Amino acid sequence: MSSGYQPFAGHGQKPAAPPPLAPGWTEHRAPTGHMYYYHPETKTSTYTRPVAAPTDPPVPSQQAYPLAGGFQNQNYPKQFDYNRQQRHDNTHRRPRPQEKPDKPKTKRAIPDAAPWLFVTTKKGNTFIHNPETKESLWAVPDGLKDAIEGLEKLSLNEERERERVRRRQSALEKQRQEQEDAMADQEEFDAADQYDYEDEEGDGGIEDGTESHGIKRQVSAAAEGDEPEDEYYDDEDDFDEEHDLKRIRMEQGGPVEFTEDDIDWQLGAMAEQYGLGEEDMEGNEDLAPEDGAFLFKDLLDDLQINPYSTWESEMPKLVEDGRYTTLPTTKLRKQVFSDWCQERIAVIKAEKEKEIKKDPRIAYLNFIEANATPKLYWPEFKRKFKKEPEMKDSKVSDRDREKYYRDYISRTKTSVETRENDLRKYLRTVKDLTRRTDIDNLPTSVSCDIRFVAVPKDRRDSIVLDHIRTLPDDAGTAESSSRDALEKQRRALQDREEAVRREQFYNSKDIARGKEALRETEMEIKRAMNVGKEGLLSHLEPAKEKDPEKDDS
Amino acid sequence: MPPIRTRNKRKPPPDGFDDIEDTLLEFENKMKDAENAPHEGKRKNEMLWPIFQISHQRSRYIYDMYLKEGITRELYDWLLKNKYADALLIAKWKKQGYEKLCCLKCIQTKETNFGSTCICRVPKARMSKETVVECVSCGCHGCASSD
Repeated sequence: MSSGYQPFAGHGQKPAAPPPLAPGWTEHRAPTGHMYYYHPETKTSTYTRPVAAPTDPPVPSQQAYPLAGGFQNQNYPKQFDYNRQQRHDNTHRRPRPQEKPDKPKTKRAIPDAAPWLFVTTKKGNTFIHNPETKESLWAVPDGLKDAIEGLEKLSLNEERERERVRRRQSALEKQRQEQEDAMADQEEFDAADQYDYEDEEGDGGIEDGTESHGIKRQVSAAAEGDEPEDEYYDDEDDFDEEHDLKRIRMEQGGPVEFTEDDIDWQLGAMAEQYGLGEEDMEGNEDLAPEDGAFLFKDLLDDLQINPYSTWESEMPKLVEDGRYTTLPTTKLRKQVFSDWCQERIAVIKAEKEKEIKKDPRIAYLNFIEANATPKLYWPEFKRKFKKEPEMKDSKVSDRDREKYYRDYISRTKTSVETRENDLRKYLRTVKDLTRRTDIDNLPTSVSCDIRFVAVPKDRRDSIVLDHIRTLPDDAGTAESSSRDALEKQRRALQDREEAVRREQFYNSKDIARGKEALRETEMEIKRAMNVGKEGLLSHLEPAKEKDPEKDDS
Repeated sequence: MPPIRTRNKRKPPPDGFDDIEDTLLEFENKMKDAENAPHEGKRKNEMLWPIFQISHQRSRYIYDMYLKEGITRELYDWLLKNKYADALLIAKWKKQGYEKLCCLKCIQTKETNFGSTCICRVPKARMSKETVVECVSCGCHGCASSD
């Protein structure tokens, strides 16, 4: 009780130097270390220091929130109920938390009334609070009434929204919660037992002369169990109750085990602090598996994972991201990863097919141009740049690379003019070039020739352009060549058609011949089957007769 | 002495090799590490386990890539021919009930005393829950298809 009560009462009090007690009151220290005050005549005790009004002790004089009407009667004074307290005194036990003290649960700013907050407590009571003046009122002042009504309407809508979200939770979720509840109950029983036990010990240990009542402990083991526990479980809020228990134990220095509920509670408190609703906390669990998979794939896309890699090597990159946990098991993640890889590979393949194929040598030659120096021999150059993709490309053989490099180096040693002349000479021999050739898309016979590469880039372009311009009959040649090509195509088509026709003719003849042969054999078989009364002899006779005929013919 | 075929002197591999080259290199390095790892404190059986595991992983990777159409049939055949993957093991994976087979040694019944397969071939459902299996030949924890 002490710990449960403390934060609430602790707001207003904790004076630096305690004022003197009112007459008739005595000060005591509870086993938990809290101070409390007892009035022997009225047989009442209180945690709040009775100073100003010693004649009405049960109600604490000073409170964090001035209590209004029903609330006060409902919970607060219960803890100071005379009879109950009496019983505690008799059994000489620390008063137990009969009822959870009310705590503020949600805070909402009231629109149009700036500093005022609308606070809802755990038990559903509401009051308004001004954090600037630290003023709290149960009754709403007239000036704020309209604003609060508007707020309530708003909150009603929100409530409905939340209800809808809650309804969406799967049956599995419910089941899980039920299980948890069952577990919590179980734990609570255990904890309560333990608590009783510890309680006994604790009282025995701490008992000292400050107890003014002097009533001896007459607690038998049987009496121990009967009274508190029943009230205990009547409580509405089991989780918090248990938590209070834990806290008491912690203050006593006893061993504390953190259960799942503790952690739940803590998480809940943190969420409240950050202004998260319950829905936000459970967001991930509500996700449908497809959504989870979708999010996970999104993550894979974002991090630019290599689809040609393995799960084991890519997994460390993913773990850091929040979306990693959208899928519950690693098995699932692996599966989604594999699916994603397949999709991605298909996409990459399609892209590659669309791409224009470039000669792999061009990249290598560009690389040479940028990096080759006469200072490096080929083996040195190779060793120095062995990690470069151009040097690793398997499409260009090592022999070619070496040849290109040596050629290039030997040419760079000559003067630029000679190189230019070489290029001009070479261009005259090339037949792939036409008037329409684009300078950026030169045929490989030019772009992959060492004479072309050896000339510095700015010079060679102008040379090639000059050469292209000198090519004869610009449009005419192009047109005539295209006409020639068409003519050629047409003739080829004709030839082909002729050939096909001939083929078909021979084929049909072959088929006819085959059919004829088949028919003949069939006839022969029929004749052979036709056996008369003479038996097989009849066949022999005509055969004999026929044979000489055949020989003749 | 036969000519030594280095990476740069051989015939270029089929298209698409560049895509998987990095991963294959990773496996190669892992394998080298495993080969050079010290054997102190290991049991006699344990020494070869990482070798089997890495070879299994690499085979699985190549087979998966082939199934996902990440590599062409041509490249796949080339890889098998060049022993990047264990063709015989992959051949077993195609059989029903052997989809997860860890190594060929584990289904070799002739080498066991009772003419049975390795313990890792036993489905988890058939064993008591706490039993932790580590097969002698390759350290497999269980490779039954139903696991």
